Order: sequence, then C-alpha cells, then structure tokens
Amino acid sequence: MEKLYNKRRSQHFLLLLRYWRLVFNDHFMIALFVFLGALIWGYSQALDQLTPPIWWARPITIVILLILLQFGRLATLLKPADPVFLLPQSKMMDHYLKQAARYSLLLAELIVVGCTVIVMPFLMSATQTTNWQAGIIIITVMLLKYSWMDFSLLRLYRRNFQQNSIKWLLQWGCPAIILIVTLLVNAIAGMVLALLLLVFTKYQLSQLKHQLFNWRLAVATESQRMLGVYRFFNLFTDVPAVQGTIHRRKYLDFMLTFLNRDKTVFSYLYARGLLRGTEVSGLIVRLTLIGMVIVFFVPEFWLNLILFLLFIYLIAVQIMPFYWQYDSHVFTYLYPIKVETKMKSFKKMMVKIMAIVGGLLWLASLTTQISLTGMGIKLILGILEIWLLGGVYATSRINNKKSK
Amino acid sequence: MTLKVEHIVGGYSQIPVLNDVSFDVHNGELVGLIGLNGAGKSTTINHIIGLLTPFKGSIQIDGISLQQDSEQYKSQIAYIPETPVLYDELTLKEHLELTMTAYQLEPKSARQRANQLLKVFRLDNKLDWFPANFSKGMKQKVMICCAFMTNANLFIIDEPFYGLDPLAVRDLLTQIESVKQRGAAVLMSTHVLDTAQKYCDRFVLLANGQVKAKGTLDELRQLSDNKNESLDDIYLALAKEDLDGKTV
Repeated sequence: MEKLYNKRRSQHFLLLLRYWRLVFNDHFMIALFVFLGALIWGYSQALDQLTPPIWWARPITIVILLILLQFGRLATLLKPADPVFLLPQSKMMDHYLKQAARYSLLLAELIVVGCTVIVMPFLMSATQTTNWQAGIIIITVMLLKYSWMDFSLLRLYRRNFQQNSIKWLLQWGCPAIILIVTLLVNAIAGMVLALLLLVFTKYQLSQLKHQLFNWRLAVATESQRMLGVYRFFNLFTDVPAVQGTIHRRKYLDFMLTFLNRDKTVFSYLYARGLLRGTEVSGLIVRLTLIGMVIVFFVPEFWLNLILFLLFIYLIAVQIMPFYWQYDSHVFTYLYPIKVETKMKSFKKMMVKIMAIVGGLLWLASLTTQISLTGMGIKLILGILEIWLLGGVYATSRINNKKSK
Repeated sequence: MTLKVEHIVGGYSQIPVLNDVSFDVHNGELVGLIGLNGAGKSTTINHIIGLLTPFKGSIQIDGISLQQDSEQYKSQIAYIPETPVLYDELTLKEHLELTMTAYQLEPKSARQRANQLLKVFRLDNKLDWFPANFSKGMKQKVMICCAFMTNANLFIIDEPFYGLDPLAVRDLLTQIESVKQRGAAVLMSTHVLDTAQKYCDRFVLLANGQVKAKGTLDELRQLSDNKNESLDDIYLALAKEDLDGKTV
C-alpha cells in the first residue's frame, strides 16, 4: 500500500504538470508576470497610504484567513474502482490515508502560510501589530490548518463526524472563533485554543482502531475534489474529464414549449439538452452577462456597435458544437426521421436563443444610448447578423464538418 | 415474410466479421440468434438496424431495404440494445414522449399503451426521474417500454435478460408473445439457452461469423443424432466443434 500511494501521487503530479504546461503557455506567462508585478506594486503603494488605526482591518483579516484555511483539501487520490479492488485491503488503508494526509497537509500548509505571510504586512501597517504577534498569528493558522486536515480524515471513518453541521462547526465555526480570539482578544490565547483543537482531533484520530472506513464517502469526496481541479483547468483548456452535469431546472420548463414549438425529435432533444445541461448553457449565460456589462459601459457609439455585434457572433459560435451533441447516440440514427429535419431544428433553436441573447445585449446598450436612430441601426444590424448566423453560417459550418 | 437477411458479408472495418449470413424472420415468429461471445450476433444486429452497411448481400423488411426508403425501413423496427442507451437530459416521461414523436404515434392510444407498460414494469411512479441514474435493470425496463409502445413490425432485442429481475423477464416474454400475436416478427439474441429453448420458435446458430445451423428445435435435433438433446447440448456441441476446428 505504501507503493500504491507513491505511484498514485507521481501519476497525479504528471497529470497536473501536463495541465499546468497548457495553462502557462508563453502569452499567459507574460500576462501573468505583468499582472503579478502590477499587483505587488499596487499592494505596496496601497500599504504606504494606510493611516492606522483602521477599524475594519482586523475583521477583514479574520475573514480572509478563514477563507484561506479552506484551501488545500485532503487528496486521497482514490479512484471509483478502489472500493471493489482494494476492499480486501481495508485494514491497510489506514497507512495509505496517513500518507495521503501527510502529503496533503504539507502542500496545504505551504499555500496557507504563504498567503498568510502576504496578508500580514497589511495587518501590521493598518493596526498596531508587532512582529511577534504576526508570528503567533501565522503559527495559529498553521495549527488550525493541521486540525482542519485531521478532521477531513476523521470524517472518512467516524459516522458522527459526517454530518454537515459538524463539518461546518469544525472547519468554519471553531477556526472562526479562534481567529477572532487571536486577532481581537489575545494572540497567545488564540494559539493555545488552536493547539487544544489540534489535540482534540489528534485524540479522536488515535481512537480509530475499530472504525470502518467509509469508502463511498471517500470516493465521492475525492471525485468532487478532482472535478474542482479539472474545472479550474477547463477554464484554460479542454479537459475531457469535465462533462457537464444535468439539472432538472423545472423553472425553465416554460422555455421548453418556446424552443420546441415545431415538435420534432431534434427540437425536443436540443431544447432539453440546452436547458438542462451545464456546459453550453452556462457558457452562453456567462458570455451574455459579460457582454451586457461591457456594452453597458462603453459610451462611444461605433465601438459599442462593434462590441454588440461581436458578442452576438461569439455566442453563436459557442452554440454551434451543440449540433453534434447527439451524434454518438444510437437512437438518433434509429428513429425513422429525415436527416434534414436535424439541421432545420437546430437552426430554429439557434435563432431563438440568439434572439433572446441579442435582445438582452440590445437592452443593455439602451441605457447609455438614448438616440433613437442609433438604437434602430443597432437593432436592424443585430437582426441581420442573427439571420446570417442562423442561416448561411450554420449551414456552411455543418456541411464543412460533414465533408471532412 | 418480414425480415430477410441474404448472404451478408460485413464488419466494422475492412476485415469482414460476418461471412455469408442468411436467415429470415417471419411474421408472428420469435427467432433466437444464438452464439458465443464474439460470434457475430451484435454485428448482425447492427447491420439490420442500419448502423453498419454490409459489404455484400442485402437486408430487407417487407421487401424494402434501408437504401430504398430509410424512413419506411426504420419505422418498422423497434430496437432494445444490449446495454441501455438513454438521453442524460430526458426524464422517463420525456423518453416516452420522444419515442411517440419519433415514430409519429397517435398520442392518445400511445399514451394509454405507455401507461400500461409502465405499470407492468413498475415504473409508473418514476415518470419525472432521470433514467440515466437508474440501475442497469431499471434502465433496461425503460428501453423495453420505449420499444414496445411503438407499432413496429420487427423487434430486435439484443441480450435482453441480463440485469432484469425474474418478474421483469416473465413480463418481457409476455410482451413478446403479445406482439407476436398481432403479427410482428421478433429477433432476439441471447445466451440464456433454456429460456430461448422454451420460447423461441426457431433458432439461428452463429459461430465465427457464419450460420452453423438454423431451424426449429426438432430440425436442429435431426442434425445431431440425439433426439432428446436440449438446445444447450446442441449449442455446446457446436461450440466445441468450432473450438476444435480453430486449434487445428
């Protein structure tokens, strides 16, 4: 089992490395350095301008530290097949998990302590905090993270630790109280409390002898964690493991009748897939919101018009891949329907969605542009663009792919 | 005559998996497609439902091939795959509605038929659930309901018994019997030989992509010497012959 964890860990690192390499491509690196530089410079400038005492400095530090504490979760690296294949080894899992907790703790402490160190100058220049008080705060945060991690491990064994209320109490409530004591009452008292919390979780861990490992919870937690990791990378590049989840969204059912007015097989499927999936619909919603904010704040008419049309185009492009969504599904081939109905249904759906999106963008730009002619020009061009995108453009994209 | 498969040569890539496969399924008849794993049962079925195109030979339903009139051809078929295939975004009720739309069923009678089937397979209280989260057996039941609510004349059923509880197996067989009564043809591939022996009217034994034997149980028995042999024995003898043939 010792080897297993090490093997999993190196695999995991390779995976992360592969994705990080995709994230940190050349352009992004340059942008990041500039951004980080600006951030550091801005931070130090802002610190100089602070005049102590600032009353909100301590409360805000408490909130920041409390949120920081939640970073760096227990990476068990368990896989969904493990409960089947490793079940005979259940006893040996204790050792495996200890390794996992140790490794996760190391990484988590690096992140948490690192970030705390960055926050400290703010606290010191905004309030009368001495160096050694800051040091004690850092130690307290370290201790809190340690017991936080122990609790994550405890949860996988002890039934009474699996309730959500206990989770909130031990991962948010207790740290919040201890941080309040540390920053607002007495730093040393806070550190002692953190130490006591750690002793408590350590004692609970030592009582685990006859507890059974909750495989189901462990696997679910780990896949949730990995999903979070993949989601993050999915912001920068395509991650195959991220498949959107499905939500019923009953409140959107009125849209179904609107999108599925012609009642063909494909309009039925597209309407439901779009409204209940998270991938495409999420993208459309996000882009529309960003677009609305941007056109709302750009006063120059020509720039506003170009941005308005650009966002319509961008969003339409994002909808296109949905045409092939059901291609791997046997039954879409088996149903006795004409192939042409698929393209027709898709274009209709696309035009309807784009009409809503375009309408929203148009309304958002209405507030800065009260000129009637300007709005009229925008409306006409928008309708023309949507008509082109849902007609000629969609047809050529689909035919292009077909001929390949 | 409903389904007619003639001299099919076909497979997934350039290499043929099926070699000169011919058989037919008549109206009101349940034909069992029997063979070892990898014998070519599912490949045959994939050719019939049109997912694969044969290199040679022809497949016709009531004299119409897929190339002649794909809509007419497909509207005759109801298919139950080996592993349930469902739409993630659709609830159970919507799967049934989609089937109605696809096969253009008359809504009132189709809904009635659907309700009957749901009751029989004890799914009537799960209409608003996503079947994608069901167990294998329950998913299979959804597939069965969708297939049997159509007015298809040819039912293609691939390994239907895995994961079904005994009650559902019995109910499925009742459904097959009732579509047979109204004149539909049924082609079913299976490994569960004692059930096949009891319910199938005729058999097609496949091995290595070739039809080794076909006919009623009595006809198959005549091919071998023993008159009281069960389908199990005939099948095993055939399989053994085949395996011996391979090692030589």
